[in-house]
Amino acid sequence: MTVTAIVGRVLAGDQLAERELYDQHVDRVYRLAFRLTGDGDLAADCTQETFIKVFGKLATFRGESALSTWITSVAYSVIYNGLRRVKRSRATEVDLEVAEWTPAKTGGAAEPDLKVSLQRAIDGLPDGYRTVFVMHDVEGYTHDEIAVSLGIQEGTSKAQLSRARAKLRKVLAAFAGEWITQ
Amino acid sequence: MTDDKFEEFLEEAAKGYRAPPPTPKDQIWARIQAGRADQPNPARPVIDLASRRVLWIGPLVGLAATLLIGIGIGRLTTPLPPPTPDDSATADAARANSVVRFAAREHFGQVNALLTDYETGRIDADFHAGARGLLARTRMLLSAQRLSDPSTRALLEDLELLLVQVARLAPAPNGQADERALIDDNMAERAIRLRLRDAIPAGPTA
Repeated sequence: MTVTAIVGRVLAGDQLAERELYDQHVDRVYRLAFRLTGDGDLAADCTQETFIKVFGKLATFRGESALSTWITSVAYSVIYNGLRRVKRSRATEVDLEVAEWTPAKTGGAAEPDLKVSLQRAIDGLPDGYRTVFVMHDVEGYTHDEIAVSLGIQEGTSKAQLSRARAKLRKVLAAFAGEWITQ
Repeated sequence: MTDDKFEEFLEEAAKGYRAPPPTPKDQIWARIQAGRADQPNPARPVIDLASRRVLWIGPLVGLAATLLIGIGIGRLTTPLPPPTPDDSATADAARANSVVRFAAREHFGQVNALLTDYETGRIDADFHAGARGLLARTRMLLSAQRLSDPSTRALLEDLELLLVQVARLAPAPNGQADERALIDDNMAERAIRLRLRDAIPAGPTA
């Protein structure tokens, strides 16, 4: 079924079409929500709220971008607000400096390995950088999709990704030998 | 070490970042159905009311007229209890809050238009005058005692910082690269355009 057809059926109140639209896009929304929040319950809440908004605002979808991009735009707005609420209630943001850890030459069981350090370093990126990095490098969105979804210019998306990678590279410099040999 | 090597490593290693579990589709769907049932205006089938207008408009007008006359008579004949101080204070606060929110929404539309000019490079004397005006208005809205909505306040605070940067943007194209990079970072990190788009009544229409 084409996007126009499914949108038309949803707007006409067809519940099977609603479920079909949901099935087509829910994984993508949930994956993004989980990657950005790191919390299954919050990701499910965000996914739920996203689709309630999508169904409520579907009449405003004018087809200027792909439906999936439009849904991502709604999803990001919901996830962003969810993260803000969570941050207000508990300060969980890891400072980038925490991840800036240098491995001891002798090694040791308690020392984080490269993958753990990478995770911490991504967690510690500023929100804008982390969002673009996760969408592009982790979830495989294009810069065009990211730009439309986040309401930024495509060039800004590219610049943010470049800066995110530069920060990660700096934080992980101590592991340079490991990624060269991988 | 090369950039390519690092990027290859990153692309591979980052796939494991917060790897999501399988989507609990049915659970979320059930919650969506429950959530939408609570909504005041869930999406409803489109019905061609125009074709039925002739049938129901007459009785409806009669009903409305009867209701209005009834209310009028009621007001004339039944003394209403004087409002308590609490009632009138609450009503005043709600009215003032809605006025501020309305002004803020209109303001967000104007800031959004200015940022579109910024992104398309239309930066001239009018642009700077507009930015300064909007900065002053942002501060005025922030100082409004009745602005109780935290998300509106947070957006205004972020806009204040952004408009300070934008209003100071050097007119010479060669002198703008660094300043523009800072402004672009600020807009992206705080998701300014997205939040503005959400705050303006039309919502996301891209």
